[in-house]
Amino acid sequence: MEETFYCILCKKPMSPALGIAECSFCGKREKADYVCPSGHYICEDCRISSSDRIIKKVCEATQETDPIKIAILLMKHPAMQMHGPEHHYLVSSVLLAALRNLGKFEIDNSAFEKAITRGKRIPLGSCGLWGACGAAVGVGIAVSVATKSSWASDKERSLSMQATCEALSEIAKIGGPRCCKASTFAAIEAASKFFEREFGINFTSLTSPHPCYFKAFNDECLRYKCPYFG
Amino acid sequence: MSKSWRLLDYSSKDPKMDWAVNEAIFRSRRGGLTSDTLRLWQGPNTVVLSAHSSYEGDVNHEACRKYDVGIVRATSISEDVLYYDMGNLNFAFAVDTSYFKHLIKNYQPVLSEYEIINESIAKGLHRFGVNSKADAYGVYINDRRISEALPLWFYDFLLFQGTLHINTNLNLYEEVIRTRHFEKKVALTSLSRELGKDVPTDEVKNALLQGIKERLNVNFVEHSLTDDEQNLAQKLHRIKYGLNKWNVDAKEPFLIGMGKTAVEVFVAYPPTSMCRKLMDIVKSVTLDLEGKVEVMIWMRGRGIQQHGPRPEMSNALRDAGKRNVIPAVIINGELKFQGSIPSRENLRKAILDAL
Repeated sequence: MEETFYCILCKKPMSPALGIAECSFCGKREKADYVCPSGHYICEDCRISSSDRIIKKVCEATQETDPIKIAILLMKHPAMQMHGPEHHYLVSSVLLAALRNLGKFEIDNSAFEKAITRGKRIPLGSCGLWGACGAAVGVGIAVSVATKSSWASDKERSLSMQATCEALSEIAKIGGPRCCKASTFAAIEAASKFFEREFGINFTSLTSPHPCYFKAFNDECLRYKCPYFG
Repeated sequence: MSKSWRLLDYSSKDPKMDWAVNEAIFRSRRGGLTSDTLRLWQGPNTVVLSAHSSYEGDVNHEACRKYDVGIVRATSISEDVLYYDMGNLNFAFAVDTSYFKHLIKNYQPVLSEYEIINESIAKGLHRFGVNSKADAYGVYINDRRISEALPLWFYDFLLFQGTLHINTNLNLYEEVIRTRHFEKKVALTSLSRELGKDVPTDEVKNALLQGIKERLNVNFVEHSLTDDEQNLAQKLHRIKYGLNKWNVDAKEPFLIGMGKTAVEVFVAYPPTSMCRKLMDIVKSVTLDLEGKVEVMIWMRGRGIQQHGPRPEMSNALRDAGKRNVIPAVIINGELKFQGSIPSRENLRKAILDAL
């Protein structure tokens, strides 16, 4: 008997498909095998993608201006662990994708490569071990890439560090043990406030992460202690 | 009412077979094929490494050669190293620890299980008039350790395998284990050293059984190894405990249940066309190997529970998951094929070679 597969985006049972469908991650159109009743389809390449590859593909292709929406889509992909260092470069990549789609800064596809390369240098557990959560540093990386900051820069350097600092402060308020989903949400929300104040950029209609989609899959969920739980 | 345990009084003359037997009885217990089991045995001079200790760094090989001391690695989560000789009484508790919980006050996971078993051993030693005490890390007389263990867990099942020093040559113990490791150990003693005379092992065996009966509220029924356990022990000796790959390099084959060869197939969810083709090939080349080979299809992102409440998963599969090696075929814990479809002939050969 044919096994039933459930959509990783909406959990509905998928049905065998005959025609062409568009990938819900990267937008590629190809002959589909399984499609869910909501029309979600995941192309074969996205299904076997690693976390850095799927983040790059989605951020290059998306037209979305809401970084939380892009982050939630990416975090549903099976290459993304419940908790893991891939969240560090997810944060910077989704912020850069949304900024590009808003027509702000000069952001091309090389920006994602830079964000991922830099984010990969932040190790797992840096929150508790270094006192610097990688999701917060991801916000600093996004500011750095967008403003083309380096150690030799003046204002851009300060802004990158200020962005990390504000995101870190929000993540620290949540407490622990760590939740990479909550840290991602907090980092993006802090980044949103930062970009609005410093650059006058409004991420239109930032999706509310409440109630957290991922709580059901997280054995270590902070539950009511977490601002995104309910 | 007391619980009935199986008592195995079985010693092999080969230390490598002895440790293979321990794993076989543990696999049998955790598979529900046997009841809770206590095995008592004795063996010739042997240094026992745990999975995380160093063959080169923790053993004085020159002394081992000089005194004809064997070296074997036990499957264990411990980092400890121990030594036993014919003056020791060795034990292996293969038990479902959920039974222990009602016997323990202020229950602490893992530590309480070790402590209650050590308490049962200490209770047995009281019969010799010694002031034996226990904690989670061992059994002591006058603050010197007389019993040590190398535990192993599988969900709630515990294999508590260790040794009790009765008439042990402790001077040799100190010589065959490297100083840098020995310094970490609590000072050791033996029952004969404490009593100032040799003690017959059978007397200790009876006392130990009495202590265990009383502390753990169990009774014993003597049995021998089952046929399945014997077959598995022989297989484990052949492919693991008898090989340098395990004893020296700490690399072990991954077997399912009672020693079936494991073929783990790691695919996308839902499977891509390449993944489906791979699954079909694996199925077709293993059709006639039912009973010998266990094929497990693991779909990325579906969690460990996709194969029931107590699944077995190799480290190579975990690693493939982390590195996004997909699709992949892992045979007996070794990544054999990745990212492409192997030919039927190559896949079949790899599986047959692993049997």
